[in-house]
This record gives sequence, structure tokens and C-alpha cells, in this order.
Amino acid sequence: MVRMEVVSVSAKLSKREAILLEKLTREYGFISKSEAIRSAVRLYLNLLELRPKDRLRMLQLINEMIAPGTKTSSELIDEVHREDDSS
Amino acid sequence: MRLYLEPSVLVKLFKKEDHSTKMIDLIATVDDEKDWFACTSRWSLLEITRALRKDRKPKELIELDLKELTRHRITFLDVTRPIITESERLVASRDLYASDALHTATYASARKPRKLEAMLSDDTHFRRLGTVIKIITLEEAQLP
Repeated sequence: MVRMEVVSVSAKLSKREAILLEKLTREYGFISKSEAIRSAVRLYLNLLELRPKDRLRMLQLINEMIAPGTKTSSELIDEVHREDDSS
Repeated sequence: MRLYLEPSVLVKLFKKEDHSTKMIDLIATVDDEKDWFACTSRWSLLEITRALRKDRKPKELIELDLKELTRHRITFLDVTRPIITESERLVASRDLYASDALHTATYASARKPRKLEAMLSDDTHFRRLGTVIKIITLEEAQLP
């Protein structure tokens, strides 16, 4: 029998995050909130372990999915520069 | 190729837009090819942070994006006192934004020691500096 060594990690969540975790644990059929978090951590670690180019591609996609902006990079940087100049 | 990366091309790494895939390819080339070199000012990290914030990216994603940037073979050049002094001179004499002056001064100070060939910028940014420093766009950059 192979004994897997495990460590416990605790984390504080905001009320909103805790409610969302509860909801998604139910919706996705995880056996517990711990299992849902373990799964999320594994996915995150897999992302960070990708080859550099693949990691950049995935991260670009995640940025675009989570917060698709309407302005171009050039427009955003230009706005940042104008902020410096606005006084 | 040895390049100074202006922040607007670095923000492209985290957005889907014209030439953003080429920018990823360029960073991969810098990571893999010995004769390629890329640098930028450490100040760029602040500008990128603000641009991503303006683009309404959540804090955790911005932090991840910034950590990702530092995992590649990009050299972040310190903002030194001589660079600030040269930036002041540029702002006063050429009516530039402070940030543009800082990147121009950083590029100028690193050009010889780091053997830089050009500043990589997008097609609208830094055009007005074309006479002072050599600018190339992502469209013009030739990858191996």
C-alpha cells in the first residue's frame, strides 16, 4: 500500500468567495469544498508549469475571458501617460 | 536581435489584438535564442499594472500577469539618477510625457552597453520620437 504524504493548508476567504465556493461545489458535484479547492489548486499549478510560450498563450486567453477590454494596449498606455500629465 | 520593449507591446501579451500572438512568439524567441535580448525599464511594470487596472482586470489576474512577465528572459533596467536627470532634460526640451522621456532616456543609457538595436513599440506610440531613437514595430520585427 502506498501512503501519500499530505500537508494541510488553511486559507481565509471573503464571505463572497465562500458563498461562491459553496455554490460551485454543489453545482459541479465535488464531494466537499476541500475537494473543489484541491482541484482548483491542481489546475492552477498545471497552468504555472506549462512551457513558457504555452503559459503566455493560456494567460492571454484567461485575461481575455475574465476581463475582455475594449481598448487596445496602445490606447491604455496612452491613457496612463495622460494621467501623469493631467495636473 | 536586441530590443528595448516599450510597455504598450508588453501589455499586448495579455490582450487579444493585432500582433499580440507575434508578441508572444517574440518573447518565446528571446527565451530560447541566445542572440536575442530584451529589456525594459523597471518603471514599465508600474505602467503595465495601471494599464491592466484600467482594462478592468481583477487584482489577482494583474498580479499573475506581472509575475509571468518576470519569469521570462526580460531584463528590467533600474531607474537611476542619471536617467531621471536625462528625462528631465527631455521633458523640458521636447515637450514629452514624463513616461515617454523616461523610456527614451533608459533606452539611450542602455543602447551602447547592452548593444540595443531598436526600441520595439506599436505603430502609434513613440512615433514622435522617431527622429531621436530607432523605433521598430511588431509588424517590422522579423522572427527566426
